[in-house]
This record gives sequence, structure tokens and C-alpha cells, in this order.
Amino acid sequence: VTDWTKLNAYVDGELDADGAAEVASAIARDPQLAARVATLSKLKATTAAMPVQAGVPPPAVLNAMRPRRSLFVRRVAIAASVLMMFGAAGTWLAWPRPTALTQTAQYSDNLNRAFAAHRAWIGETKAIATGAVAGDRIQIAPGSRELIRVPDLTATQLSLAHVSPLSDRTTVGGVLLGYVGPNGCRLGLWIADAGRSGFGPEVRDVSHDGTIAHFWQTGATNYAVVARGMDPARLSMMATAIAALVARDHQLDDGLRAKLQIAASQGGACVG
Amino acid sequence: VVLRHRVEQALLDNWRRLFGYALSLTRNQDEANDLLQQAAVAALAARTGPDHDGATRAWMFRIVRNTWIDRFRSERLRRTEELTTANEPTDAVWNFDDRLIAEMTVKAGLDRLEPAQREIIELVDINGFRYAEAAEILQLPVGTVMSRLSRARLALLEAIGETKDTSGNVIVLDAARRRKV
Repeated sequence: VTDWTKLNAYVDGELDADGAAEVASAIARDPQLAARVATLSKLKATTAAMPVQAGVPPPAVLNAMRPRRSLFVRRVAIAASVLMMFGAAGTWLAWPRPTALTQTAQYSDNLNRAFAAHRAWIGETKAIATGAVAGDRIQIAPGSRELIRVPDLTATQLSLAHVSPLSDRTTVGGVLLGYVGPNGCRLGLWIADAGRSGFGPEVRDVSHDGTIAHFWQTGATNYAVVARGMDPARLSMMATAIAALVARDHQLDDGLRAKLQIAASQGGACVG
Repeated sequence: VVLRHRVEQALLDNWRRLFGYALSLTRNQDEANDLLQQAAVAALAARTGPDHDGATRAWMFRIVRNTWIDRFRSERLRRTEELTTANEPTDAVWNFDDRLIAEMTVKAGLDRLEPAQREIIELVDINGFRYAEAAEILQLPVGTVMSRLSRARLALLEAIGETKDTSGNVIVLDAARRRKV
């Protein structure tokens, strides 16, 4: 420990009694040391008194995770909790299983395309340059006049890594955006013109060969979030948050950012 | 439930300070906000944590730091100051005119420090952590915290001595304003 370091520790009150007495005695004898201590004390006091940074955002994550409830709702929630303690806990804990693809016949063509596009992406052996970044507007299909914005999912640590080629968009009638997480977790977002087979505004889920899709419709466009091996609770929350992001025309406020982050933190590691 | 409540309270009580720390790591308001929200999510989701309020604050700072390392995997903090900062004051005795060490010059000086130097000052001087607590947050030996802090303050004094205004004009003269005793 150098003398300078010891002087700092003295000013911080981190020396033991003997060490502090030794420094105090040296200061009394040496004006240079006294000047250094005075400078350090002034520096420490000024730094400590600096005002806290302005423009601090609100703790949106707390609000997002603990939504305000009315007194009635809180009482109902408490009653529900008590009921659960008396027998329903087991079923409550089980995450609902997605619907099988065969039970969503009216959407099966569209959903099959989403699953196929996702399979094609994860089956690729090498990365293909996307030619697009989050925030860009892209065509769903060649000739389509409608441009769809590529959602920015960096709040969930997912980066855009794949956009299905235009030629594929013709054959499958939609575009698949592939996002990859820092640990290789992959999530597909399939976007297609709703046409006459709109998914409807509600976010619903479906499973097919171990892959799960959450699908919904925003405006005239169908969306499906598709993943394999991702924690079902995480995928469900991600889909809900992405649907909210799309519905808000991609305006990401603190609350929605917190929801995306909360979604990404749910469940275990992604194995897809 | 007890841990969750303690973490929520610690987040509310320290939110502004935690944001300041996140900002000192990221140097960017949006990234700091993102980092803090993500760290808060991680803290709230934790199943184990400190068993008393006193330790929860330091634990929160450590989570912010670990989240930053995980998220940005930045090399910035690894560029430590050892190569650029002397261990001891050299020619002058650092007897500054009191007016030099003012809020504005300290803030400007902090902005010019290496990330690791700014971080240790943020923890000890601004947030009031003891050396042992800072060592726990940074996952470093206490001796390293001591030497890093002393070098950081030396660098800060150097920076204060060279503080310039936004036009690049020196508003505080360096050696000329220091008085040798």
C-alpha cells in the first residue's frame, strides 16, 4: 500500500485505529501531507454532494411487473389465492398446452407456411446476410405495395439475423424474420397479408412437431411468433409483447420495453 | 416473498443512484435505462439474495454491473487505468485552490476518466460504499479497490487541473493554479 493510497484510506475512514493515528501524526508534522489530505477531503466532499443525474426514467419494470389493481380486483385475487391453496394449485401451476395444428383448421394453411418458413430458416447451415435491420420497412411479397416494419427486439437481446428471400416470400406468401439471442436462441416472426384468412386480434398458440407458434392479426396483416425449444411461458410473453409493439406502431416506451425484458427473462435457457 | 419485497423496496429507494451507476457504465442515457430495467428484472426474478436490507443495496449494484457485463460484454471496463495513471502525485502537492474543486469541474473531470476509474469513484464517493462493499460489487480484493480508488482520484485531480469549457478554452489553469508548499 503506497502512501498516497494510505492517505486516501485515511480520508475514507478505512484505516484501523493504529493506522489512522499514524497518519494523523504524520500530517501534524508535514504540511505537504496536510495539504494533500485537505485536497482529498475537499474532492471527496464535492463528489459526494454532486446532484443525482437529471432525467432519471421511472422504474417502469416495477410498474410492469406489479400492475395497479382496484381494491375489488385485489380482493378477488386474494380469494383466488386462498382457493388455490385448497386444491387447485397443481393445475394452476401447469402452463396450458398449445392447441394442436389440426384444431386450427381455418388457419392451418397460413400456419403451415409459418412453420415451413421457420423450419427452412433453422435448417440453414450458414448464415445469410439479411440486407435489413430492425426498423426497416420491407415487402411481405414481391409486388406487394404494403411495407411492414421490422420490429426492433434488442430489448429482449434478440438481433435480426435472417429475412427470408423474396423468392420464398412468393411461394410461402409471407416473410419470416429470424432473430437470434446471445446464446443462440432463435425466434421466428412470420408476417403475411391476412387476406381472407385473418388470424383475428387475439394472440393464440398452436403447436406442430415440437414447434410452437403464437399468432394474431394486426390490421390487414397476420403475424406468428415461432420457436422451438423455448420456454413456453417466455415465448407466450414475448409474443404478447411483440403484438403490443406492432399494435403501437413500434413505439417502444419504458413500460413496453420492460415487458419485453421481463418476457426475455422468463423460464429456463432456450434450447432451440 | 420477503426477498421480493426487499428487492422492490431497494429498487425504489435506490433507483436514481442505480441509474447514475448504470449511466457511469454505459455513458448513454438510453443504454443506462435499458440496463437498469433489465437488471431490475433479474433482481426481481432472483430466488436467492441477501438476507438483510443492508446488503441488498450492494447486491443491486452488483446485479447492475453483472448485467452490464453480460449484456454489452464490453472491453471498456477491462481497459484499466494502471497504464495511464501514476501511483503517486508527482511534482505538485495537490494543494488546489478550493474554488478549483467545484461541482462543475469535478463533473467535467469525471467525464474524462477511464470507465474503471469513474466506476470506483461512483461507488465509493457518490454512493458511499465502504471498500469491502465496493470489493464485493466489483468482485475484486479490497487491496485492489484501494489502489484503484487512489489512482482514480489522482486521475480526477489531474483532469480537474485541465478542465476546459465547451469551447475548448482552459477555464482552470493546471500547474499555475496549484501552489507548492
